[in-house]
Amino acid sequence: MKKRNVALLTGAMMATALSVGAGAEDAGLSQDYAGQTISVVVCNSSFMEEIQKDIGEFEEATGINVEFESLQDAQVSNKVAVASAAGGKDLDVFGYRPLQESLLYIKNGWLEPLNTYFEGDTAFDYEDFFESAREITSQDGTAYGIPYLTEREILYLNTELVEKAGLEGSPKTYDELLEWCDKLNDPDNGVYALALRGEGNAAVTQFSGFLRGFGGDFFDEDRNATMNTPEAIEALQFYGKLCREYCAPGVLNMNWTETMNLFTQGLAAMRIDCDSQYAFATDPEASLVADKVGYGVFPEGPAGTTPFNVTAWALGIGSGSEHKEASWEFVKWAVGKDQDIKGLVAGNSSARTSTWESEEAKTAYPEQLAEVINESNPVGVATDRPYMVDGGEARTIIGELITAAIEGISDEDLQAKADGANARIQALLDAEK
Amino acid sequence: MAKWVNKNIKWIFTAPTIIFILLCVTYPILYTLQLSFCEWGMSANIPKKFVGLQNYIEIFSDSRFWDAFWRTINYTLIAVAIETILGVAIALLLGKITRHTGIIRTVFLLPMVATPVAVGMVWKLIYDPTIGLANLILRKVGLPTSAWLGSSDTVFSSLIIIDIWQWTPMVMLMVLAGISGLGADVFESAKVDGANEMQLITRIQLPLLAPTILMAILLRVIDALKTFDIIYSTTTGGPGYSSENLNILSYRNAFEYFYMGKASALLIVFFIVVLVVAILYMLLKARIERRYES
Amino acid sequence: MKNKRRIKPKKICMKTIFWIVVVCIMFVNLVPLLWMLSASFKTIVDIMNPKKMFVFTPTIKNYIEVFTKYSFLKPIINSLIVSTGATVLACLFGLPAAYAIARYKQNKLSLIILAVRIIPAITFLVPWYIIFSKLKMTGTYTSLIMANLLVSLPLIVWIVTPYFGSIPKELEEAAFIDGSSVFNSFIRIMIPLSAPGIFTAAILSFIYAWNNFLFALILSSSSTKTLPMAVFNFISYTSVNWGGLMAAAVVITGPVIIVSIALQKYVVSGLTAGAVKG
Repeated sequence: MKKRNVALLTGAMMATALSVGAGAEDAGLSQDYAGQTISVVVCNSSFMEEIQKDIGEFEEATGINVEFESLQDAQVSNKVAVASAAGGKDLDVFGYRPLQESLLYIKNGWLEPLNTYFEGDTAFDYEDFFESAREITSQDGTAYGIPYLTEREILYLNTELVEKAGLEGSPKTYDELLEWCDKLNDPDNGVYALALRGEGNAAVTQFSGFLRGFGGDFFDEDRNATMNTPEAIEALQFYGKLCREYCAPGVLNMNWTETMNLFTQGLAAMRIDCDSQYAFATDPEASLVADKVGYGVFPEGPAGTTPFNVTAWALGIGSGSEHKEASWEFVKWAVGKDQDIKGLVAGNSSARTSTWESEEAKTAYPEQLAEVINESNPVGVATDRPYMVDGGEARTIIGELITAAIEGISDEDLQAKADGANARIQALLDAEK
Repeated sequence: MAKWVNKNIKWIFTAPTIIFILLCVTYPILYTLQLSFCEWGMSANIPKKFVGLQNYIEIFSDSRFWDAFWRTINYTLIAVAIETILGVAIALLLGKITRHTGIIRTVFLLPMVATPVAVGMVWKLIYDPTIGLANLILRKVGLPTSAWLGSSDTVFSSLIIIDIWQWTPMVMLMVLAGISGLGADVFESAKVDGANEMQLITRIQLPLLAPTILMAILLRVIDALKTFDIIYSTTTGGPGYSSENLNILSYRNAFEYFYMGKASALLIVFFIVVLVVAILYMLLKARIERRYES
Repeated sequence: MKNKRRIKPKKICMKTIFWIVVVCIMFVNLVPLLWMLSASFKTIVDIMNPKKMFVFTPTIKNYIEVFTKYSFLKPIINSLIVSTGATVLACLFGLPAAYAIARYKQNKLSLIILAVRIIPAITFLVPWYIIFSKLKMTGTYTSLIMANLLVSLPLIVWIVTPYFGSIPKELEEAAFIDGSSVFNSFIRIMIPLSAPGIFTAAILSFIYAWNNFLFALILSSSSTKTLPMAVFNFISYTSVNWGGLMAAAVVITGPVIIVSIALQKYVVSGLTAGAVKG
């Protein structure tokens, strides 16, 4: 504790001493690349909104012009792909989803190795990022991206409805989850026990927690697809049952926004999804239940407590960029310690240990949520989707299975479908060898 | 000089357009054609690999392609059929009105000119199963609610409803323009001959309007086959693949999976489909028109 | 007057039913747009609340957000530049071509132009990006204008050709005798006489360019982003601002709707131009 205060003090003193562009100077920004223009493409999020607001400070401190573009998630990868297909000259800094894009981007040579940039930079402090986040953005010891948004699969609870049903705390196991669902489900009054993603492709990530909970996985260590094992079938049927019996009608088209709406309107007693979306649920302008939100750790399955704990977004530098140093200045500033804390206050689930330990974190996050996050972090699984080059297509295939399971399908039919899906995933895996 | 210009004026006048088409249209098509025989993950660092007909074989042996193919055809047939019937009926109904025509036309114009991605978002909200307007109305009148875009059973018809809302006005306005072009004297003489209302419509108006209606159908067919914005902004092809048409399937292959070769092959096939449909339709139209003229 | 009405009550009844039907059809037509308008004045909580469907406290917060937090002014200007640019260029290229087709019966060219209309737009995105990248022109207005030309050019040719065709040749021939060149008579006679048709085609080309999403998605950059792209600003990774999204939808469709209402006659004749051609 003392140590950090000293560090802060020195930082503050240095800033005063230099007295130009405070904050920015702490991160050791350089004026060497003044006059260069870099393009930055990221996904819309509270953190990136914060960055966009402060971008003037960065430009002033470094003299670098930033063309900042914030898009919807899938559109970011559209941009990256098209620009890279043309050689990537127009692409300096971009956001990407390590879990579904790392392998492909690295294989295609779109990402610049970053080790030489941050090595020895104590202010940036690469070791400060969560180990799992560093691992997923690296390959064979080479770092290709800097993680900035992490998320865990947790349980959101409407405390009012939970109390009304005479329940307390949160369901700890799958059996308890079913019990709770039975008690909380009240379709006659338009209130449903659960809000869960049912749109196949989107549901894959939330399903992963259950898949692991039953002891299954997308594929094993030897890269054999395992989507047709008894465990996987059981998980599919369980997830299907939850969606079919305890979720609002139309569950098949529900992505996180739809389930969030149900929850914030008080129409769903529980919701399973990412903790990173909590700010919307607790915003009185967006939510009728803003003061009634409770949090719980993802329930334990026969094979253990297996929520995902993933790095959703990272910043990378394009390998074809003509302004790599200037780009690094930007990355260093954007996900440096100061900006990262600002992001957290704005509602971003940071990937930095120091950010979570900061004074700001204690007041910025709801206490119960912070506890749940701390409890989920060590048990969490680092992937929430098939982590492979053709993950996009594999995800769609698994999404189909989830859709079938939700629509209600016999075990035999599901088995047949799963065998087919498994073979297709296997073919994708084999093609990567 | 002036004489030379005068003599070659038709080439000078068409030159900009021809150059534009050669540079900006022909090149991309040739490029796409070439890519359709290659495997390429959109990386400038990894060269394209020639694979012959493999992409095409893959496509034609994939049930997902055939689903999208028939979905595209069915979507077009159903949507355009309903739009034509409704559009012609409404036009015949409104054709009698002589006052307030400006307001009426304007109202019908709006769905067509409103920005599709914005409209898609609005419909997404309207179709929301729990909080949307659509189900609210169904509940009010005591009908069972629907999952709309939310289920693979209803997503197709829900999208067709949007298409009908957006494009019936086009058929209607075209036919209305046709009616006003017919002039009143045809009807007057028929009325004198003692024809009743129904006969007037079936024997006189519809045959005279046939070329207009056929043109409206042609334009609609081409656009309906290529529907993109509305599907992109509402379902992007989901749930599962259940609202994927050929355009969305090509898009996903290119920009979601980065299978540029396969996507190119899909686009070529898709282009041929649209072309064949358009040619078939034009031949049919020419034949019908000849019959009416004789 | 009164006597007549008393004599034909059945006709009056029919007429009332007729107008009720007409008004109903018109209302159904407008519902989604009215819904969009009302949602744009609601908070997110109210949009999500079916009980507040019709009765709610209106707020202009969404509109303020659209222009301050999401700085919509820039995309509006970009949309104006791109739509105007594409329309002007399409006229410059398309009008002479339409004239040549009408006067010299260049039917092959008209078929090729029709074929351009048929090609799926996705085909162009990657090759064009690569070309523009080689020319160091990615994300420029020029690239977006060129892309939109793909839609605008066939449109102009398609609509204007029959207008040129309907102008009697004698008018021009008289001018030629007076020593006017073809080019001069084109500018002095053909264009003014076809003004309504050209105006019609231009408005339509403007609207289509304004609404275009796919080209902007791939070819625009942060500084040239057009309005249909800006809608997606409201969908962030962890929340969706439905209120802002609906206000944005109103801002985007608003100008097009106003233009359509004001110039209804031209827009209608543009959209129904197929009928003119027959």
